[in-house]
Amino acid sequence: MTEPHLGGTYGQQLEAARWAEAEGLVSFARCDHFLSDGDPTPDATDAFAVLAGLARDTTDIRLCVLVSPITFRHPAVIAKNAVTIDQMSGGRFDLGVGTGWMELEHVNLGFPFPEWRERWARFEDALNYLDAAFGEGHASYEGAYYTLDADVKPKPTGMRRVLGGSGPKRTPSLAGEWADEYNFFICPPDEARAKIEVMRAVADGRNVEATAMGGPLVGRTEAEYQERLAKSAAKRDLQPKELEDRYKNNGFPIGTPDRVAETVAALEDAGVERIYVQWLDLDDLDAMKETVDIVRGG
Amino acid sequence: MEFGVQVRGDWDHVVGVAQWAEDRGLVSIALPDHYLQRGDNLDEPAWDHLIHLAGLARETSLELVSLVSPVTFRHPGVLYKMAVTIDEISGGRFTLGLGTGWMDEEFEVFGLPYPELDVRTEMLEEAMAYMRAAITPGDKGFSGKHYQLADFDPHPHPTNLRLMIGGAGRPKGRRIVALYCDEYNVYARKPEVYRDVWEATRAEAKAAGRDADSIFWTSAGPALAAKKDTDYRRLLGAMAEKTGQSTDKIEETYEERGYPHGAGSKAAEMVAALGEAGCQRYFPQIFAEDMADFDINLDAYQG
Repeated sequence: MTEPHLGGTYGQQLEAARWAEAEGLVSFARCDHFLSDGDPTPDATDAFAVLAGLARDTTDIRLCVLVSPITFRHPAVIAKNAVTIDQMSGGRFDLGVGTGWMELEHVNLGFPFPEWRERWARFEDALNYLDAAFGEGHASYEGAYYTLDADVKPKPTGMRRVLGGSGPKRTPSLAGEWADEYNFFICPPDEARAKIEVMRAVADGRNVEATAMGGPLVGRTEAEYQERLAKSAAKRDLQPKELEDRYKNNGFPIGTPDRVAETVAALEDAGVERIYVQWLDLDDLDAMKETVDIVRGG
Repeated sequence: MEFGVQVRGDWDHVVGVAQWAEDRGLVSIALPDHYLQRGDNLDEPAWDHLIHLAGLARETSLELVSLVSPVTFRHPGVLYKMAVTIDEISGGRFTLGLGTGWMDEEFEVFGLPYPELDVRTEMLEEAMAYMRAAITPGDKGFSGKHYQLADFDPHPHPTNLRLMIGGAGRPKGRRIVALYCDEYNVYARKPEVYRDVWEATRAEAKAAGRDADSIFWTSAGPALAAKKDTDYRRLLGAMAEKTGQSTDKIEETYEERGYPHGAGSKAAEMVAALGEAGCQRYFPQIFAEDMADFDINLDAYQG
């Protein structure tokens, strides 16, 4: 799972996706952000346009937007983007949606950014709209913000719906109701178990995959790990110990391969079926490859 | 006169036409942006044209044209990001076209915003001003009634992104082109009308302190042409069947509006007359399914 709003060309995203495909990973995911801090602002590309290109430049791997804020695009545009990439990729597209949270990108580019209560209301409205648009038969939905009364064609073929977010109740409940995949930020196993239970209770036997996403900090050897930890801590003006504690408290896979394996096993035991290794620095694909390899137990 | 082609349909069709267009030596492929294929047929599937163009960037070496996108479909912040991304992945072959939108039904059934034409025109001008500010390094944001871009320098900068208006050639459209655009696609009409738009827009560009020759002039119109009379009659009959109009009515409309069409050398002559009036590239909108009919149409337009 990459974060190209921090910088990253199409070519770099393509290299990462092709590597992941060759390695047999399930999915190449990227965020949908238009901006991040920095001067100059990093080269942030459009998620859907990039995934449309990757649909043609890859053959097997799934392609996922993880996740798209509902605040950027009208749900009609989200639906049409999704079914179009679905067709161009032979059903390999996964559509992730979320409420939107990064105020800076909204303010700077001039997108409305209502307070969270309205964002949630819009989000639920949009989920209903998309549900109607992707469903069989005539699509009809009348919400407070969005309305639909159309024969929406084509329908998705292999597209999966991903609902992402870190909250303990509302997000897993909505995922259980709406999604094929529930994705949350990596957290301690007990918290993960609780969230997944909330989701499963609502899903009521329907198959929804529980997945988690986060950025591990790993090394082949203790020395390599310590070196990366120190480097990463220095970037954030923290002591290595402080950063390590933070990672530990969040339940992230850290350390040498055996420690990482333990953490991954605990998440798996809590019900997590897939981990997206979040990778920020597309200029350093070698480190990305090694990290993914270690998290996979290689 | 250069030729492109405008086409719509599912992915396989669009890619097939791109391949055909390359084989025929055309310079560009243009896609319209509609979420319904036709206002009077709510049943046909429709795709997102910017997603198609992003995919085509990887499949063809043609220039890629959005012809055109209704301004109320997407916030200009989204248009900016999609446009610079397609610019990047195509290596600088993308033209983003915007218009006011006109197919009432697609806005209505999808619940997309669709204020009155004068408001949409205002939005179009603001969206273009926003786009121009967003893609111009060092520009200082934009503050309008509908859209705002903060005073910062968004990245990436495009390598060769071109901005276009597509429309009828009304005074407000001319003004937007004169101020912000690289290209004006004036929908097919009689050469004297095209010429009037051409002259008025150039005058406005000069008045704005801009080199009028920097504006590229194009046109598009529905394809209905064949060198052989029997082919022309067949295409005309098919169009009558599809639209539910009589063949006489269709021909009358095409004559009245000045859409290049006809049998023998007529279509080529009409396109040439548009060329005399200032048009530099013509996009026949070929909505046939059979590739043989693409050849028949193009042969007649090229003459």
